Order: sequence, then structure tokens, then C-alpha cells
Amino acid sequence: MDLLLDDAENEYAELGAESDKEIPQKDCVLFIIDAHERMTRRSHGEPSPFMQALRGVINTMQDRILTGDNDMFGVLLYGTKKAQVPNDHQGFPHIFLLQELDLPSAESISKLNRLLESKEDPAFGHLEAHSSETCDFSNVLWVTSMIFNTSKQAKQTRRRAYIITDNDSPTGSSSSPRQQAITRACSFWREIMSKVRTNYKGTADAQELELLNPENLSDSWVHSAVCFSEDELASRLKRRSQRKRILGRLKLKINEDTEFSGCMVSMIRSYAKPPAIKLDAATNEEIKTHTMRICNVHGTSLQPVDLWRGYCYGGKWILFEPWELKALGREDSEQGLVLLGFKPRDRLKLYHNMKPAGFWQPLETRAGSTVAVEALVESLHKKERFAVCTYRRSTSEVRLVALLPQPLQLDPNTNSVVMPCGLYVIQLPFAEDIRELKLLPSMTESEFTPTELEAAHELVRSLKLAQAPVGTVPNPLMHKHYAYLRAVATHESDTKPTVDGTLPDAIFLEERRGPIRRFMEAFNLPSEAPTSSASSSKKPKAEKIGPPQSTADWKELWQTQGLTSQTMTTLKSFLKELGLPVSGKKADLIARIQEHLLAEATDADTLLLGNHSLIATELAS
Amino acid sequence: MADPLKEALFVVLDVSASMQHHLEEAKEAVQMLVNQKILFHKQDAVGIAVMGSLTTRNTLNEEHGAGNYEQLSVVQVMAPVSFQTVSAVNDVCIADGRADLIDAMCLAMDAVIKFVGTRKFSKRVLLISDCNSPADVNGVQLDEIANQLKASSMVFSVLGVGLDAPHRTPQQEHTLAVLNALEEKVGDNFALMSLARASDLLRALKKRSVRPSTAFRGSLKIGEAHLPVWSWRKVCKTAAVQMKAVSKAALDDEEASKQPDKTVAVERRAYVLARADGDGVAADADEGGVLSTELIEREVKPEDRINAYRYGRDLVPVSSMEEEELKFGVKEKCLELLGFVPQTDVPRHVFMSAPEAVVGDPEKPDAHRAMQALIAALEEEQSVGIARYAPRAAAPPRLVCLWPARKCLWLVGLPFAEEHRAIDWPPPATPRPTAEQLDAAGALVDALTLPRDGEPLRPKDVHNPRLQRTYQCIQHRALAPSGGGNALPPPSARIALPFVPDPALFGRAAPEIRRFGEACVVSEAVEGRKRGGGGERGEAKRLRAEEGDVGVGAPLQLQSSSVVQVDSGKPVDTFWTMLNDETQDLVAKAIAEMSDVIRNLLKRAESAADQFGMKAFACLRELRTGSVHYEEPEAYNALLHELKSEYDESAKSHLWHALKEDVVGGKGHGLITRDETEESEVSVEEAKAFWGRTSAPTQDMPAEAEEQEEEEDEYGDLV
Repeated sequence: MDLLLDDAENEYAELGAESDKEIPQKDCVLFIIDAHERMTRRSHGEPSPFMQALRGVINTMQDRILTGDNDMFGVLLYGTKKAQVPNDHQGFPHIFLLQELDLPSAESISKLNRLLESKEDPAFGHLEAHSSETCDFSNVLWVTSMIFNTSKQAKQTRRRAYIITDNDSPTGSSSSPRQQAITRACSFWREIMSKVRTNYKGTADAQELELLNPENLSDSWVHSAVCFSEDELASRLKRRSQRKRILGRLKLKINEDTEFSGCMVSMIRSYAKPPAIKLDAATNEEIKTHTMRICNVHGTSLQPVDLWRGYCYGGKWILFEPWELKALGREDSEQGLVLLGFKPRDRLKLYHNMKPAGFWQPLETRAGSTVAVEALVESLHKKERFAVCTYRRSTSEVRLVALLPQPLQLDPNTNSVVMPCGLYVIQLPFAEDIRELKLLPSMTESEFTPTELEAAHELVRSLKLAQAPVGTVPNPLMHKHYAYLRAVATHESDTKPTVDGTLPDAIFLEERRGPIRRFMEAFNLPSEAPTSSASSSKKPKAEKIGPPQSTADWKELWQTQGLTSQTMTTLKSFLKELGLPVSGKKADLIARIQEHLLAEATDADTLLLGNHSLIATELAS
Repeated sequence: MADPLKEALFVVLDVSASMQHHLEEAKEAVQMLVNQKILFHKQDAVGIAVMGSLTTRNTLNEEHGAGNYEQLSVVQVMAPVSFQTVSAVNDVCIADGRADLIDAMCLAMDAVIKFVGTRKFSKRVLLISDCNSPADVNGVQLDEIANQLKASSMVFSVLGVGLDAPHRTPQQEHTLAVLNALEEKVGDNFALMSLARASDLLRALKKRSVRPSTAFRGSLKIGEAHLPVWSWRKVCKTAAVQMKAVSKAALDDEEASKQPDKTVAVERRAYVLARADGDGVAADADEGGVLSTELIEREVKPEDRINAYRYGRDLVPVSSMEEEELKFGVKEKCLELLGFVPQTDVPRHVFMSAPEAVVGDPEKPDAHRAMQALIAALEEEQSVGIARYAPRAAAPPRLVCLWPARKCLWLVGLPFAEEHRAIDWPPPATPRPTAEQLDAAGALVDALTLPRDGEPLRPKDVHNPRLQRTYQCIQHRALAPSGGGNALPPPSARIALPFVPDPALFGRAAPEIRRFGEACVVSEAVEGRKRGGGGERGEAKRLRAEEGDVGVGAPLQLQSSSVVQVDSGKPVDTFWTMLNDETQDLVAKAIAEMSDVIRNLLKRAESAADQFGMKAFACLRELRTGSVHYEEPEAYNALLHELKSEYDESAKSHLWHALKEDVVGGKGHGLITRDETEESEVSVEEAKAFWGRTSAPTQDMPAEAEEQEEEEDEYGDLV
């Protein structure tokens, strides 16, 4: 049996017990980097493999901070001159724990960064290949398992170790078969650089596994001994260390006798800036809050059971017990996905969308589900249909969802899975959520002139992008946010300016100026944003600038006909300043101010103002 | 100018004697209308009058003196809709008067016009009548009425009842003729409709109407070109019904009960835990010889709070000035095109958000033309636009796709790199579906495909069950006579119907489903959970799982039959496993152990509705089914007797009563009778008597009520 499948099942089994909400599933990741001198050699001006590995680690850590996953990271080097092992254990030479397992922090990233940038040889030193001393790889594995087993942080997490080396057989050719077995059983994941290798999959030897993980087999190690060539180690690592987050188990039911087991996987989720945490400014301690409900009549503190939930129905208060409300609208509804029928694909309108889709994948909790669902998905895909289902998880309300088929998709080159077989779960809006819009009728092609049509077509054809930026552009907001936080945390002053990948490519557009021009001319479009038209139907909002300060401000107001927009209080205070009477209606006050300003005005102003007053009177009449 | 959202409605109900058999129907329709206004259009005003009442009470009668507008009575003057309106409709009853239909019409129009004045209301009059009342009018008057209706842009609807053509009275014929004449004159603003049809329309589930406002007005920037556009939200999640917290105890207070929403104050305290090492405390500690490590809560004032954000392990405090540095907003709102890509490059499942409809600025013909041409070109080229979108200044930009539709471009958010998880998938499962399986699946898909004509389950036809059910319950409680109606009604069929698989469709498709099931054999779930997940939470979850998965009475065919003990964690599963065990006879043992489980559960249960209670009852049902199935009724019947003696008279008697209610409600916990299995010695009569003896309400209920009162008193003392 392939080890990978074992792993997947373990993952599900862990999850089986809690299927409701998104469980914080932490990863504990240990990067094991080969630090032999061989790794530090540069080739063709590229950074050395060791440096590339470090950069990859840094990127992965930053990425994890950004995506808000509470995963733990550690870095272990082997093939170093010096040794540093947790608890100062002796007898593990040439193994150096660079970073203990912990959540990544600004400090830990800076430390790695310094190592990356420093010109000198690091303190731990690199072991030369021809040196008489060698680093015993089984020791590395011992230390690794020790780190995992002794770290408090690593409890209740999923442990993974990544070994980054350019050595084809890290155990060494002279090692005993036993060691090789350990290596296989440990079933780590190796990244071998610069050379294409054959697949490296071993069978699990239970005895050897026991040796490594005496207590429990389910302390599963990551094991996909895939070897390939890849230039961009960093991006590889980043991708590799993503793993699927399972939101919960969910069955798909067709009728009483036909049910399939499966789970929801989070693939696309909207991700906003995390909320701020309040601290006590004096001590930088996290503030705790406590909310209490108090009865206004008796002054007692109220528990949830002491409360009604009330709704004012035309002046009459309708009261409910809180628990009554909980069940409303999902009586008799079943948990999971329950099939209501299939529809042709074109019946799923584009606007039938509420939020990012989930992905439902069959699980072998009920043996046979995978094959059955695969057959179903294939036929749905072939016939261009989608399924309509009710969808309920234990805590949520009932919704209608559309299930879009995703057949198994393989990478033609590597034969690895791009997308597994499953169903996208798209939440459909309810009647209440859909708004009726009164849009102008659409126009038919015959209503356009050939020039207009040609201009539009040329525009669309010429502005073709090479690649759709779907899931490839980083969110500039998040990057700025975290870059700044890191700078504050490490007292670095120079932060790199944020790259906004959402901006249009100016050169790309400049090169296609012709078609854009022709489109513009065909439809008589402005080359500048129309200014005030944006809020034409709304009343222009009162500008939030303060009251005019100087006489110049007042003059300007007068010129722009803005005097009437000032409040009585402002007008009065200005008149007071001038020592003029403040009595009368608003018009009187304004007239008085105008008089004053006119008297004060210079000749040039008078000319200007005179004109304006003229226009004003004309308009008034 | 858009229609005003508020409506002023005047309803005239015919209560003359001939309406005898239709009044209830008419009242129900009005009640539904008023209810919808209370729930969705609180701003609307409603007035109600009855025609054919014995008394006369209206302003026109007062103005014009006796003899005019007689036997017309306003029971609810025009006012914002409220519960009073509901009561007013409720109190309407049949009378023996005789009023003129045209008089009523004028009265209603007058009331609406006077109420609205210069305010922005749409106006409507609704007259419900069987048209047996006279309609005394000449041509000039009719013209006048028609003109006034048109001038005030008032909608006049007559809902007719009992107007079936063959049985019309001469009076009805005459009145109808007058109304038809009026309809001809007025045109669209006049409608004559049967009450039954109107009720049907009213009964349909309703939603709040929202006047859409643009989400964005600006220009779609294509290089240097600016195409003025407007954008509306097409889909917007409707919020749940807002409820206020009300203190139960405070409602005793007369003053407070008038404003129940004001009875609860919320106090939020922000504090940090600090070592109590102020001077005084420290001195105390010294005296006691123990170092004080006790933590006290120190309140933090709002001005002493500072925001912090997490960076991995670190918590980075950020001053309010620095906070600006964390933001990344656009200077000006924008919608800038990046370019176009083939539609296939933007798969449907990457849509991040609810879409907006982007159209050319409707006030600029050029813009509309340009947008329409662009849409046509995109359709033809099978392309979508990719744009950068920030609907407001200072909003962070986002990438969106602009998808051509007939009348607009749909603007939908696309995921950023962080939002899209690239997952390392395990290799595909080894047995791929065979041709036979694919064939069976294809047949299944065809058989279960919903018809295109009169397409069911269109999102715009399916209402949110939670919202509609909440409305239903609110309405039920509001209209229930005071004192009663505390139990919530069952969900109305209209709400639940779309969520139930169509039995006809699935019935027809049964052969295909069976064929698919046979082609792709799926075994029962194997419980492979390793962790116990103890504690109440775990237990509750398991319970839920069981309830969801186990059909009552359906013997489970578990694969493993090594279970030799009823497990209190999964009693139902293990119980059936033991019963079905073919290698050894464990039936007696299973029943005995299941009984023990039930006893234990009931001991822990506080009420029938808590998790232990529910589980115990569920187990009891399973035990009963199992006992009947394996013809071992004694143990079950004995258990029931035992429970009765233990719980009927005890402090937990409510458990027994709940059980009893279940029996009455048909869920069936009753003694196993001779009808069900020959082994039983209990007759049907005996089984009934078993419950009957103690269920005499005259004996039990007062005692119970007293008990409860006592309890409450004690509770009161504590408070």
C-alpha cells in the first residue's frame, strides 16, 4: 500500500471526531537542511543550494504568517562542524539546531535573514566532504524524532519534516541496509536540486517504524519521497508545505439507500486583515474583556436563561426563548448534502454566487464512495450538468447549493494530481438575497454601426492577457500590513515599498494605444474621468472642511457661491469678528458679509466678484 | 423618479349580511397583508373601514351631515401599520347594514389623499366585497372619480368574492357593470380580481423590497479611455431577523414591560490581570509571610488601550498614527481594466464574492452604447475582462473579472494568491470507475435531471427557510390569543417544500438509483474514530451523529461483529451489532445492557430535551424496536414499569411526562403488546391503561403546578 494513502487516511481519521467547525489544525514543520560544504558551493553565479534552501525556509515562514496559520517551524542543520542539540545531549556530532520548533516570529526570520546576508562563514561551520568525520544520517533522524517528541509545542499537531539536500542518498552508500530502511520508513520528503531523479518510494517496514516512533504510528511523518528538478526551491517549498484544510465531514445523500461519505476541503477562502488585539498601553498586556447583561429593573446580572429574545411586531412584543430560535428553519432537515436533482449547466447563472466555493471530496469512510462519486462526477462533467442539493452542517442553517463536477485532472508531464475528483460546492442565493435591478434593455448587433462593432472587437482582441491573474497576485494590503509589522518588531527602518500587483500594466496598455483610441472615438468616450457626474443623482454631501478661517477663505466662498452653505453660527461669528450686527435672517447675514467683502476687495477682485454677482443676480431672477 | 417605497393603503371590508360566508376569508387576506406590512414595510400606513355596518362613523358623514355616507364605519384611521391594525381587523364582524359601494370608494380615496398630503407615498385602496351592495352613481360622477384616481395616481383594487357568473344576483350584475365601466375609464390603475387569487398571491412567501442603490459610479478605465459606468449589487445576503434581549424578570414590572427592549443593559469591562503588589497588599503579604501572587483585575480605560497585531509569535503594538501605515487604500475609487482573458481561464468556482452588475451610465447614451458593444464583443470572443476594483477612496484594491451577460457585465471578485490554496494532493485512488459504473451514473444523472420547463428550484423562487420560519413564528405568536399559542407551529409546507427531494422525481428514478447503487457498492460507514473525545461535547456530537445517521428501527448491518458489550458512547450502534451477531446469541445480554444504559442516561438527564434525555429516549425507542424484532418483550416492559415507578412520582416526573407525551404523539414508547409479538402478555387495552392510570390530568396537573410554583418561590428567595 502506498504510504501517501496511509497518510491521507490518518489525516481524516484525526478529523473524524470533530466535524463541525473549522478546527485549528496546526502543522509542525522541521526543515532539515544539509549543511555540508558541498551545499555551499555556488554554480553559475546562482546562490548556493544552502542559501537557496534558507531563502525558501524564510519565504515559507513569512507566507505562513501572512495566511494566519498557527504553524510551528524549526530548522535543523546537519553536516555542520559544531553541534547543538536540544537538552545538550551528547553524541550527536555535526547536527545543529538552528531554530527550535516554534511559531515563526519577526526575530526568527531576521536571524535567518542575517545568516543569509552575512558574507562570513557561519559560526556552525560546514563539514567538508573529504573530511574524515562524517555525519551519521541516522543520528539526524534520531534528533528529529527527539525534537518532535520532546517539544511541548509539537503536541496535537501534524508533524512534518522536510529534508533538503543535494545528496542522492543521504544515508551514505556505505551505511548498513538497516539505516536505509530507517530512511525509507521515516519516509521523508526530499528535494533534490538540479538533477532529475527517479521516484524514490519505499515500503514501510513496521519494525523500523517502531524504532523511530515507538509510541504511535499515527504521529505520521510526511512522506512523499518525490524527487524532481526544480529551479525555484522557494516556491516549491511554499507550495509543498501547504496542505489541505478539512472543514468537516459531510455525506452526500441521493436517497435512503444511497449515501456517500466525504469531506469539505477549504481551497479558496476570503482572507481579510486580522482584527486588532487591544493592549494596555502601559504594560503592553493583552486586555481581557468581560461582558455582562444587567437587568435594568432589578439590577441583577442576567444569564442567558434569564433572557427572552424579543421582536417588536407593530408595537407588540413577541418573545422567544433563545433555544426556540436556534432550531428555526432547520427542522427535519438533514445534515450533509442531500440531492434534489440535476440541472443543465447553463441554469447556474453567473450571479448565483454568494461566497467562495468549497470543495467536496469523497472519503472512504463508506468504502466504495470514491469510485461511485468519481463515476457520478464524470457523467455530470460529460453531460454538462450540475447538482442541486440542500446543504447543512450541524451548526449552520439550511442552504441550497450547486455542486459543480471536477473530474480528476492530472499533470501530463509528471502524472501528479492537479485537481482530484470531487465537487465544487457553490452556495446559491435565496430569493431574499437577490435584488431586482431595472437595467436598460440590451442592444442587438444591428443597432451598432460596423465601425463601432469593429472597434469593440479590436479592443477585446488586442488587450488579451497572456495569463489570467487568478490566485497568482498577492494582496498588496496584506503584504504592506505584515511588512510594516515586521519592520516595527525588528526595529528595521527601511521597508520595501509594497508592490501592487493589481495595477494595470502601463506598458502593455501603451502598446495597445491604437485600438483603445479607436474604441474611444467610436463611442465618443472622454479621456478624463468625468468629475462630478459620479454623484449626480445624489445630493452632494456637505464638505467636511471646517468653517472658513481667514477673510481670504470667505472671499473664496463668495466667489464660489458657497456662502449660503455656511451655517448661521459660522456666519454670525464672522460678523461678530467684523463688528457688524448679527441680527436678521440668513439672507440678511449673507448680504451683510458680501457688502463687507466687496468694500474690502481689491480692484481685480471687484472685477471678478462683480461678474459673479451679476451672474448670481441673473440666476436669481 | 423611482416609486416611493412607502405605501398608504386603505382597506374597505364589506360586512353586510350577504358577506356572511366570505368574511373570514376576506379577513384572513387583510390580515396577511397587514402582517407583511408589519414585517417588511413598517413605514406603510394602513386604514380600515367596514361598509354595511349598523353604525356610521366617518369624517365625510360628519362633514356632509346625516343621509350621506351612511353605515360606513372607519375602524382604523390611516396610521403607520401596527399591532392595532391587526386587532382592528380581528374585531371586524358581520353586520346587517347596507352601504353604497361608491360612497365607500370615495371615503377611502378621501382618507388616503388626506393622509398623504404632499408626502411621498404610493396610494392604494383595496375594496373587498361581494358586490351585493348598491352602486349608485351617474356618468358624471363616475368620470369625476376616474379623473381623481388618475390625478392622484392611486391604485384601486376590488377583490370580489362570490361572484361566480351563473349565480349572480341582479344587484351584483349592476354593481359589476358600474365597476367595469370605471375600469374602462381608469385603465391600469384599476384592478378587479377574485379574492381567492389575491389570497394566493398574498400567501406566497414574501421578502422585503429594497430599493437598489449603486455600489459604484465612476469610469471603467481602459488605458486612457474612460467609460462611465454604474454598478449595482445583484446579490446581497439578507441579515437574520434582529431580536432584542429582554429580561424575563423585568416583565413583572409594569413600567418596564412597556418597553421590554430597554430592560437589559450591557456592561463591557476591559481589564488586565495585574499582580496585587500595591503598597497595602504587599505589606499584608509580608505580615503573612507569604508572597502575594494573587492577581487582581485592573480596569483599562479606553484612552489607555492600544491596538496590536499578530506577526507570527509576536504581538506588535501599533499606535493610532502608525495604523495608517498598515493600510493600503486607493487614492480614488477606481475600476481599471487590466486586459481580457478567455472565459475558460476563469473557472466558475474561483468566484469570490456576490456579483455586482456593471452597466454603462444610464444617463449617458454613449456610455450605454459603448458598454453594450463591449459586451457583444466579449460574448463573441468568449472573453472576460480582468480589472482592478476599489469601490471607494481608501478601499483596498481587488482583482475582479467582468463577465459579459445580456444587459450588463457581472463584476465578481477573484482570489488573491493568499486566498487560493495550492494543495499537494495524494495520487488518485486506484480503482477507477468501470464503463458499467459510468453508464449507471449517466443513467442516474439523466433520470434525476429536473425539467427545463417550469424549472423548479430556481434561486429566485426559493426562500430562506430560517427567515421565513422566523416570520411564521413571530406572526403565530403575535396573532395567537393571549395566554395560548406558546407552542410554535409546525413549519409551513411552503417553507419546507423546496428542501425536500421531490418524491415523484425520485420515485420515477428509483430503478436508476438502484442500478447505480448496485454498480457502485458502498458499504455502511465504518466507525474508525480513534479518539474517545470524552466530555459532554463529544457525547453531544456522537448523539447528533447517531440521530442523523440511524434511521429509527433500521437494523444496522455493521461489518464488525466483535462487539460484546453495549457501549454507553454509541449504544445504538453496539446494541444492534450485538443483536445481529450471528456467531453468538447476545440478544438477552444486549437488551439487559441497553436497559442499563437507559437507566444511567435518565439518571443524568435533567430534562427530556437535554442531551441525556434525548439520547435516553432514542435508546428506549431502539430497545423497543429490537425487543419486538427479536421477540423479547419482557425486559422492555419490565423496564417501563420500573421507570414508571421511579420517575412518575419523583422530582423528575417531567421526564415521565415527556415520555408519555411521546407515546400520545405517536412516537411510541408504549408497552409491547400481544399484537406486536406473540411473546408478550400485554393486551392493547392493558397497554393503554398503563399510561391512562396516571395521565388523568385532574389529579396530576394541579399537584405539578403547585410544585412548580413552590420551586419558583424558592428561586425568588434566592434572587
